[in-house]
Amino acid sequence: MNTPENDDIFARKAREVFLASTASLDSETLARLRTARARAVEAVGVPARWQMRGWRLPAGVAALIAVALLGGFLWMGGAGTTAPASAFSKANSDAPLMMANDNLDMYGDMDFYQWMAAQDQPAAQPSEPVDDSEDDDDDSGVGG
Amino acid sequence: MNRFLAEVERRAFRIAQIALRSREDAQDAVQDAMFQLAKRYAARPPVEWVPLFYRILQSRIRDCQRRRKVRNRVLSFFGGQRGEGEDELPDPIASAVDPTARDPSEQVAQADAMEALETALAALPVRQREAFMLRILEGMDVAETARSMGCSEGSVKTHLSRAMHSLRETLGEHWP
Repeated sequence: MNTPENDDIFARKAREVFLASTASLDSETLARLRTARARAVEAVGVPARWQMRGWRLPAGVAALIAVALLGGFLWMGGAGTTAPASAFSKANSDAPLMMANDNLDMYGDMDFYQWMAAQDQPAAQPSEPVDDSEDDDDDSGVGG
Repeated sequence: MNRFLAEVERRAFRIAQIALRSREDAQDAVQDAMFQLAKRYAARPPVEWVPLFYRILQSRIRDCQRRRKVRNRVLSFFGGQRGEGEDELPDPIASAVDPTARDPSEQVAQADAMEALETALAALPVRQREAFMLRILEGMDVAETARSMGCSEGSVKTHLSRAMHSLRETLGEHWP
């Protein structure tokens, strides 16, 4: 019969038997548990220490690299100091191109426009002999 | 933390051993649970340690059971049928009677009763077994058991009621 009273008695007996079984653990298990506990207690402070170690090593290496780079720049007589400026100006040279309202496809056809410009140049220089007859004919043909 | 772990370690080991039916696996599970609790939750209030610790332990037990299932499946696929009983065989040294115990006959009776209880517990569904072990054997209250199992207090009561019913039927009126 499952009554609450009987359940309580059963639960009490079960716990009693269980606790008795914990009192007679073998020595190897007890030693293992002690070792595990000691390691766990050691681990309590580990994250913070590891974090410090984790920071110290890269910070030290980064400081050494920074000092080496600075020394290198100074030893080279400051020549390197112009590099950032020139790099900046080079990078900025593309800025108007990027910010222009022009159709960017035009820059893709730059070869074509350069060729057109080359075609126009001889007309502006009459000293060189150029045969425009075909172009004229073509123009007239198209226009007619 | 050291005092808490020392106080709980034997019961935790036995609970893991009942669930896993293996001394080695139970030792590993308790060791992991101790380490994780100390590493992650040492800063939490000590009153939270019991449910946290058992929650980690239950998780380790389930992991071990899953690994076993996979291993058994793989082994059976290759023809080497390694039953769960291989790990379950009691170590003769481990199971030797402690000569410092009070009364040998009483101890044998207790050991028999515990063995019967373990066998009955092994036949229970996992959640019912967890509820019984945490609530009755470990002695947590319902709220702590619920936190350890990651479920509601109502679920704990349901699992526990079913577990008690099954165990009492299996073990009989005259147990222990």
